[in-house]
Amino acid sequence: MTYNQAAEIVLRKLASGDIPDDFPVKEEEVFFVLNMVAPLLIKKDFFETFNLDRTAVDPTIYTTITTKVFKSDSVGEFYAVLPNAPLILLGSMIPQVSYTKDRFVDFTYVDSGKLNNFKNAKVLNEIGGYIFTYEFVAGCDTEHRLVFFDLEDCVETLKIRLVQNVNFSNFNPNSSIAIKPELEMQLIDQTYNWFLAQDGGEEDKIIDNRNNNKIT
Amino acid sequence: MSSTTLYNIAEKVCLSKGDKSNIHIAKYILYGKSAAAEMCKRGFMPIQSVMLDIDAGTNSAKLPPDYVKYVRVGSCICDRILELDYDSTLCVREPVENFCPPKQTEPVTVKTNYYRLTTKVDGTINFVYTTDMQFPDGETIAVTNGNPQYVCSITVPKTNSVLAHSIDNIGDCPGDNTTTEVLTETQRLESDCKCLCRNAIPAGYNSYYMWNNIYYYGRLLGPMYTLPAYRSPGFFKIENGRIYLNSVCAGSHVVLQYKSNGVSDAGQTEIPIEMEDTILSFMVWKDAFYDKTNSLSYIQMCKEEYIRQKDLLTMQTVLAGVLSMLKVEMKYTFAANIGR
Repeated sequence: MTYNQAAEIVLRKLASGDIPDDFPVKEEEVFFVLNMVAPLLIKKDFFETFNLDRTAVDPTIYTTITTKVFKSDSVGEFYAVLPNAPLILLGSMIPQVSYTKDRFVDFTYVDSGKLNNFKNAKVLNEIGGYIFTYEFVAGCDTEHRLVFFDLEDCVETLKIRLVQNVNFSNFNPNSSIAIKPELEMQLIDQTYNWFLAQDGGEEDKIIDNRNNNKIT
Repeated sequence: MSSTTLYNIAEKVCLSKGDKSNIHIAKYILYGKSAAAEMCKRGFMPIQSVMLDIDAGTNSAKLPPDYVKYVRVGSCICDRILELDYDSTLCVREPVENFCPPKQTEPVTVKTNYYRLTTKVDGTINFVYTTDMQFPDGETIAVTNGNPQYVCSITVPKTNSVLAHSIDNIGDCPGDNTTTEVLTETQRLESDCKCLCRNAIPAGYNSYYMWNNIYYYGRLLGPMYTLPAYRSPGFFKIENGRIYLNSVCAGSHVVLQYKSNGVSDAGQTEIPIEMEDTILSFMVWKDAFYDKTNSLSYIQMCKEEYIRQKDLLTMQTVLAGVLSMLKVEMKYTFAANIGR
């Protein structure tokens, strides 16, 4: 289901039929709420299912992208820029990296907070393949990056598989919502309820500018 | 003795625990290092292979910090390895200018064979062969269809041609063509090195193997072509934390396989495959031990599984590994002595 389709269903339900041109809720607002609700549902589903069976992370919520590898002139590190922050829950759904033409070379994620500790404990040299970590860089270039260590100069692109937290800087309403099919109904319901609560204001029965309707 | 690495064992723990992202793999390796250190105390020592830089001033290299005992040593020449022999008499306190030259010993006879070179297709094939060990593959001869050529060569003639051809050893060189070259050990060593650099196999070697899992500053190198110590192409001695070489073609690197004390920072630690389940269950136990959400009984169960695996790995198994390593050392020393 695409964002466009989901938004239309929500709007039609809110409008109780065809959506008039002057309908107060705009499509963009629905996109925004859909985007906020989707990660919450993934998180809820994660705790309901993944914790019961640790293999239950649905592969359909992953997105695979091919991205260019950059070399930082200042520190000599290699990094790839992610389109958005990856969704990581309890250490699962870490972005997975592979060569574009070879999926079977090991790229191992190490938490950036523990890199130094593992290096001092002589653990990093035991890891086969390449080591990478995630970093959110804020400043002139505000980016979500995967930083690689000891990558060869000849590597120009890498394939990255991640669960995306979509934001509006590169939002496409025709793209599919990265959510399990069985959660789509819940997503629409939750989004609809969000607008419903907003629209369904209660009449002030005792006109004294106080929220005291239920006081008897 | 087949081997695995702590990384591979940690990957299996991740799989068994459903950790798809391998996020805890470094932690499991940390526990695995403790397990390897514990096994080390029980008599097992993991083996490592590293490439070391040779200090040209002293013709020696610094040993890794986790070095306990050597298994084999090779000099890296033109991206190939020539295994060296241990020589306890090597003097390591000589002044630099007197240090490097190898021993002058009895001359060595190099045998020449007679080869027939033929082709059965149209066209000319160029063969290279050796009449002087100072210049391996230094001679060239052209062979055409119907005109076989006969050459006396120290090495087996070679060709790069893809056309059908045959190279037959038909025995000793006849009459006047018999050339017997006499080389000193120094000359022979030099010619062996030249051979290696020209992708030829020095005379006297009838096999090679690929030396795997060599690390250079923590980076894994590809398998390297290695000639075993059938002959004594040079010597080394280990003293005061350094490995000393005497070899006229001791390149800029030496490759060392050694028994480690288990806390290596040079590369991946190789673990004999027999130890895999023991180390795996140690990792699982330690992981359970440090996880506060686990019950005491679960931790105890993990510990009991580790003890069960450790008991399965009897001292005999450990000793078998140690003995096989010892045999490897004895084999090389013995073969080298025959060569001399």
